[in-house]
Amino acid sequence: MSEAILQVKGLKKSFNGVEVLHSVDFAAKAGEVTALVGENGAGKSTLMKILMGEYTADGGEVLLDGKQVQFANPHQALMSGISMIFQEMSPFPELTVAENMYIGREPHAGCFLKKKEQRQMAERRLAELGIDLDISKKVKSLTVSQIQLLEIAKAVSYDSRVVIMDEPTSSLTDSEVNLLFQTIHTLKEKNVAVIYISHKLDELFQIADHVCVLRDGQIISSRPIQEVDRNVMISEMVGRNLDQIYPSVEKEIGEVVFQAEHLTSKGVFSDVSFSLRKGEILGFAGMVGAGRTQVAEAIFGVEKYQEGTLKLNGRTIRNRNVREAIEGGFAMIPEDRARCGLNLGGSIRTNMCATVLDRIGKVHGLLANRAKEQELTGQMSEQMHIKMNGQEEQAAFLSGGNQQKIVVGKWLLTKPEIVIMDEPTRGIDVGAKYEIYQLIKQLAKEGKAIILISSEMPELLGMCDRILVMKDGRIVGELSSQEASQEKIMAAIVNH
Amino acid sequence: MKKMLAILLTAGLVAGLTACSSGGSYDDAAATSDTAQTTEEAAADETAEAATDETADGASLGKLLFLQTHNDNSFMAYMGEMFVETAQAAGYEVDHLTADSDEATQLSQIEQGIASGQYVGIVCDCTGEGVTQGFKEAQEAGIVVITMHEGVQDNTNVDCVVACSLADTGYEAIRLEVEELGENFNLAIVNGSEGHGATVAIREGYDRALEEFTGINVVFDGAGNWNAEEAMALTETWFSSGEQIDGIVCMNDGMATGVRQVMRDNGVLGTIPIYSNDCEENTLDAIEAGEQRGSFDMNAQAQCDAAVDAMTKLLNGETLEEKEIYVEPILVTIDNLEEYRASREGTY
Amino acid sequence: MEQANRKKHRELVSKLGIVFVLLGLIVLWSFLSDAFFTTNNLLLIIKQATLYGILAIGMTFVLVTGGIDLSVGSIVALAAVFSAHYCSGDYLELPIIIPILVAVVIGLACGAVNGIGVAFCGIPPFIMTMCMMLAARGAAYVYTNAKAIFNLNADFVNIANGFLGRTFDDQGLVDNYGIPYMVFYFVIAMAIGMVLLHCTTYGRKIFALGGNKDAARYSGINTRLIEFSVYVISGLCAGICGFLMASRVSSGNANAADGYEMTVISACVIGGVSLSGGVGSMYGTMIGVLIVGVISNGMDILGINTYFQEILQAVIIFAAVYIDVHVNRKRK
Repeated sequence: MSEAILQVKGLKKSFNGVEVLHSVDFAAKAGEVTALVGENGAGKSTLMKILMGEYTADGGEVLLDGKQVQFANPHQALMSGISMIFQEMSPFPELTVAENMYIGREPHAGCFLKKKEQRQMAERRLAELGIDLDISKKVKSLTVSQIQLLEIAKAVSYDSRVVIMDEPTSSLTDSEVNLLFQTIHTLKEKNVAVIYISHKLDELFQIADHVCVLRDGQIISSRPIQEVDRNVMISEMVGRNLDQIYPSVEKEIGEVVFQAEHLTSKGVFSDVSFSLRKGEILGFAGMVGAGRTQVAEAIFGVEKYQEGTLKLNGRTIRNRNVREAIEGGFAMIPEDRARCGLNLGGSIRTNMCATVLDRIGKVHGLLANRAKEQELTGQMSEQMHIKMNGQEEQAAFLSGGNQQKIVVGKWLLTKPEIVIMDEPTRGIDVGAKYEIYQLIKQLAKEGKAIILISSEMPELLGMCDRILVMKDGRIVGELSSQEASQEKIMAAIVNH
Repeated sequence: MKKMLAILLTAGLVAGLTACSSGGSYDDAAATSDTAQTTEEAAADETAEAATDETADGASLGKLLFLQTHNDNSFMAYMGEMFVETAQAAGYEVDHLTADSDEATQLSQIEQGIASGQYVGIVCDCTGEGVTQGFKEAQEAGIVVITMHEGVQDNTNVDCVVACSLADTGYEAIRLEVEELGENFNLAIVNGSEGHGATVAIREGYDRALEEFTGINVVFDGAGNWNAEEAMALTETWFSSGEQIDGIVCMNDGMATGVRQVMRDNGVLGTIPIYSNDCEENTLDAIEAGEQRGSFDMNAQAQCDAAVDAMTKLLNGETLEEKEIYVEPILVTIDNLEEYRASREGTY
Repeated sequence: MEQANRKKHRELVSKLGIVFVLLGLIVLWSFLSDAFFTTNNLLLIIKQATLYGILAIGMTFVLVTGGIDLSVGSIVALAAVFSAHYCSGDYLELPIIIPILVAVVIGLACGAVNGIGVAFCGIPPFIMTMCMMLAARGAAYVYTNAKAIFNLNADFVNIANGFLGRTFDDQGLVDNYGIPYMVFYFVIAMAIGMVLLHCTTYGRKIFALGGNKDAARYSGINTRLIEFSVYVISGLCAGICGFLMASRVSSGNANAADGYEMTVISACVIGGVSLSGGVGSMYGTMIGVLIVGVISNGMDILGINTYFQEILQAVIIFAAVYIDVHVNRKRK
């Protein structure tokens, strides 16, 4: 039971002369979930990429079943029994579940596919893991969590003995997370070693057997879950003591600035009404697919709505497109940073100034004002503590936290009055999270009205003055910060 | 590793270019320079001795720029070789370029020729009217301009026109059909690419004949775009329509090859008379086998001879008797096939 | 600090890399032929590159948004036959601004149709502009009935064929070559293109759109309007090339500029414009166009057969892009 399948000893790796892993020791035992936590940039991905054969280590050794191994590419790793489920998964949307599972190694006779056998094999695998999936469905029609389960089944079908999961729950709702955890338990029973990377500390207490904290390329601590203290772990991760995760800031809630009345978009959401006050942080709770993002997009002019009115300071507004919304003082930090928030190929400067090009342009906004762009980018990077090698660095090379800070920064440049944040802390490390929380509170203190959409209930409970609960496109509950609790939010969702 | 590959690529590239420029063409452009006064140096040039053994003193008369619309088919390729041979035999050096049927490309080639200052004369098989602009510049730079084969309408800046009338071949083809089929019959016409110079010219001949022989009923009239596949697709449709076809004229041999295939499939090969242009090898075989009546040769040899002859006269300051020299096309039928083949000696 | 310097240095090399290719070719040709490196020939190269250059300016805008415009060659032909029509025959005496305007309007209209199709109807750019490519070429054939239009107004012909400061001696031979007007058009068009793409907020928005369309939309950029506009610009460039083409070859021909789109796209690609959008510069495009011009001019001067030229062109394009992708764009 406590046999270490995978062992890493004294692993070293540097890029361009900068050492990112300093002699890392690490082990994963069969039938256990070993959690690996740490801020982004701590070296987790590099470590995993070495295990998967994408990078070659500069020193140290990797032992699989006590024998030294070195993989030249991920395929070799996979064939030796190590598989990884990535943060950003890339299945083939047009193929079915079964086809995805056996892609590249389809059972065949000569040049003909044995489709029936493939289906049977897929079905057997899914049954073994207790995963309920229709194998003939196309992957594009699956939910994110279903795809994740599929990926796990695929990993297991390689007879993997080590399964690495990178942030598996970042886009799952609570019930989906439970489903995933059940599957992980099945893996444990099958004596698979699971390496679990996560930012969500609460999960670790539910699922992990052993926790390793990685910081600045070194293992800071490694202990069984029973001996882990939450606050100690956090301070180990960030290298400093956090008094508390959610900052408390004295602020005043003023008069109503924005109202949505009976907002309806057919088949997406209906009869959504709420009001928002100056200095208020209004939370939106609910499952993925409850229509929260769609309401936010409708308010921001990205998507259309058929009925209902929007009022800004008592005046009716339309927000037919994003420009109108920006002019009205709205800003939105979108859910999917890579898809909607950033031009990853562009520089920090061009990303930062994308929202204010016309405003800062010379000659009626026609000529680009490079000097002003540089000035504003400089100011904002300083204010947001963005770590970078100059303003012309490509956004793609920054960590998730720093990317998110650019997205927030580019919206603060528009000097908004109403800020909509859709999952602003998804996939970023604890330190950056804390900074974003502080920033949200600070904005509220300055009198901005904030809408915060989040799937992390502790985040909503810790940050919001008021929480609206949405289900199936409707608002099904409203809770003040005093009365709100995870149980009450869940109850509102379940009872409607 | 990647750097190595990049360097290798670049090296290969340079080597390729150098090889092409020295081995690929007729002489070493870098060696001879400037204008017409290079005769002395050129005499010592090794390329000159390789090219010309007939000229008595072995001296080069200067360098000609020979421009062709394209040399995509065997006739044009033959004419290209023929001209280079003829001109070299007469003591010229020749640079030979083709324009890929693009007017602007040919114009550029003329301009470059002028700018390089190394040519005494330009012989041009014209892509279109646009090149006249280049001829104007050439004359302003003191270069003799002769059009050969395909000419232009505006000949103000042309010193001599050598051509074999395509229109005449078109007229002749239909007249021969009338001779065989009588005044009243159903005719199908396979044209070249629309708008192409040769298409327009041959069409002029067809139209002239159709005006004269009013009894002819043109049942089909379509563009085979100079190639066998498209001509095949076209005629297949015609034959499957059930309409009676008594005779076919076709603007080139390539298309005729396709048409004959369709005729074979329909069991009418040899019974329906068909004429085309170019006298390509397989068409000659078809004529021998009785599958095709005849094909017209634009008489490349005579055109090249006339053009080189005119060039020499003009460079010597003589005046030509006729500014426009027309060469008779050769009609090849079963009757003169052997003779024609012998005259070609299997050159193409 | 040192790292930042090294990075700057690397960026500079990658920016200049393509210039080295151009200079390398010029040195190579000069070495192989005396006739190459003369003022007249160098001016001629620019003159001959002008049509491609103007098309490439419009194409760069389209490519940076992540689109493609296959229709430019056909639009040139359509604009050329119309402008030729309006300065010949019955219209010979019309002021030459009329045929110019006709060509420009046709270019704009075709570009606008492309833009509407791509930006507002959601048709993939490849398909939309391919349809336009067929339609415009067909329309040009229909309009001319496949016959070339000749005998254009002399002033009109002079637009593309004139020279500044050309003098003749007493025998009517050229004394002073002068500078072709086309060279000025090239320089002016490139300057306008550079300013528009790199110095305006409009240009910034094009890059933002090409980098990430959704993010651009979320940033309040009117992505549809911008996407529409780049096709209009490309159409406009094609329209301008249309009358220049008619003027240059002093005729309107429905088969003009056949296949130019591919040459233009390859010039842009050589210049570092990415086909997936968001990356590129007008400066690079200009160098790319000149490289294409120098390649064909040099090979013509050396008397290399046209078909060989095509093979060599392929090799050079491959090499230029390979070097760009694998040497210059090395990442962390």
